[in-house]
Amino acid sequence: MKKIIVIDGTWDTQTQAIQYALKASKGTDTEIVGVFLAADSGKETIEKAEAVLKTVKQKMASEGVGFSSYVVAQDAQAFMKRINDLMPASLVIVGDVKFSADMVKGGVSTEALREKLACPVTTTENIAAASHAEEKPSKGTNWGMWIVYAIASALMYFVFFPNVKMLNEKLFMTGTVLGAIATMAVVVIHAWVWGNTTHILPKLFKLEK
Amino acid sequence: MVDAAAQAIDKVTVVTQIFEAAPWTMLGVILLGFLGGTISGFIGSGGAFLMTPGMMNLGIPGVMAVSANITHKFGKAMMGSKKHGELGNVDRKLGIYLLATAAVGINGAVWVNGYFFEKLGKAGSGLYVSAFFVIVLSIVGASLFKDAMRSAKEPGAGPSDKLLKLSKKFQIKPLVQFKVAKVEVSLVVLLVVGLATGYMAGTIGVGGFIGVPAMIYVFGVPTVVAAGTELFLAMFMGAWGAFNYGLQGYVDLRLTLLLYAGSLMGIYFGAVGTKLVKELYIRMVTAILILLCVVSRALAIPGYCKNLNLIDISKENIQMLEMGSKFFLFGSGIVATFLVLFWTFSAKAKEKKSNELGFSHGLK
Repeated sequence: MKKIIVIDGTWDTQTQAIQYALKASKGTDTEIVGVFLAADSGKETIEKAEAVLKTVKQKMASEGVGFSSYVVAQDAQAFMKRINDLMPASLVIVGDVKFSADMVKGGVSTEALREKLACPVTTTENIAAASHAEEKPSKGTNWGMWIVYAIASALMYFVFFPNVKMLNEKLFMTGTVLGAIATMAVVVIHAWVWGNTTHILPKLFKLEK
Repeated sequence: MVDAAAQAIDKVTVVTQIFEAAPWTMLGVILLGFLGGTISGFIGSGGAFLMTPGMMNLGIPGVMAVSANITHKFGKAMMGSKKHGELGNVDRKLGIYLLATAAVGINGAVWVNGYFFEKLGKAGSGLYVSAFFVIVLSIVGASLFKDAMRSAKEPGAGPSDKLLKLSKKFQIKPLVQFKVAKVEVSLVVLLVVGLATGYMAGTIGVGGFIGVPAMIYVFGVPTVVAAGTELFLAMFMGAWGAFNYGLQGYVDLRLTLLLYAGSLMGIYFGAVGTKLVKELYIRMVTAILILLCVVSRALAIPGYCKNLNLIDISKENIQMLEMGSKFFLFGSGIVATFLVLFWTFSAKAKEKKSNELGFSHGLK
């Protein structure tokens, strides 16, 4: 069974983080654990949080998803102890939560969680941004154009380059406006042609889609 | 003082002489391009602090190494900025404001650099560029290192906000808002930073080391936006620098094209890495690499001083120092590039693992 921990400070059934966790758990054997970071440790606040989480639990049950929850006050030590007790997890989603200055001083923040926890830690903003990016139609690789760029690059290096010595004396290094403009023109053309030839490398290494 | 006439060299033929005497130098320039490209794609600037001294280590006169580099910076930044732009990391408005005064800084730098070359020859140009490099980059490197160490001790702590708080106290109106970077900055501060960035870019080809830290520590811009915006800025500063050095006939296109051969392969890996690798690692690599390059350049200074008859030192000692300079520069560049690539591929593997559940980034 996999486990997703959702950390949020404004729980309800429509909380963005819980929606994402639900989406991710669909079709998999996944338990969702909610950690409600309360604004203070007052009795009223805790009771209110527990009531909200009860509603969320009912909603989860209706969706057939296992759900358990904890309310934690803004105390760095108590918070980290709770998170560590919940490990191992498959993912931590940080939702709409504000870590107090004392929590940050005590080493609790989204970035700190990323450093400390072995599992991936993401935020609702990151998920939203990535979802948006995925919705964009992929441009794909235009192999026809790539071949054109590759041939042009080969010409630049194997035909043009050996002649630069001669062209330096006649044009590029003459110290004239024409020479400077010609130099820049070559740079623009070459960077464009060679850049479009090499831009495919991260895709070839599967670093990008 | 040295006789300038005796040191006079022909800028049109000097690169030809170097390439004909040692053809492997061309491979050295390509390697420098790859190292610099990967690192600059990763940290948003910084290729130049490897490439400029690296070319000087290969025997290229300082002013020509800087001019080849700034010309190369122009096209490389054009492609790098395109990539960062696709990733949403560029604040174009901020770039345009900084550019306004950077152009003036570049012009001043081109004049001073050319003056040293014409008056004191290759050694004079090398000494001026190296001394400037060592002084400025030791301050930048030490500050970055201190800040990175602080973040390492306190995970989650962002960049130091001391300068940011100070600049907020002295905010002179008018203030300009930048939506992508989500900051508000005094116009006066913007113009001063632009001028300093331009002068550094024109002198050692490393404007990003004022521009990026200033954006992060003085303006409060997120690191990735600072890196992307610097590439956008570098594109236009590079164009202006290339044009001005071109007007003085210092740009040998062969150096620029060889740098491109490596850099435009590396820059894409570096740019992908910014989205995958932890920010602390980015800052740590930058700081350590700068400091190692400073050591490398400092070791080269006695050689220039000897050529200018400023100090008396044996030939053997000079050779040893030059060897040490090359070792530090190429060694640190190779190790840093390896780390960038290793972290990028490792982070991708980790992301792939979490994607098996479909929720690492975009969910299913």
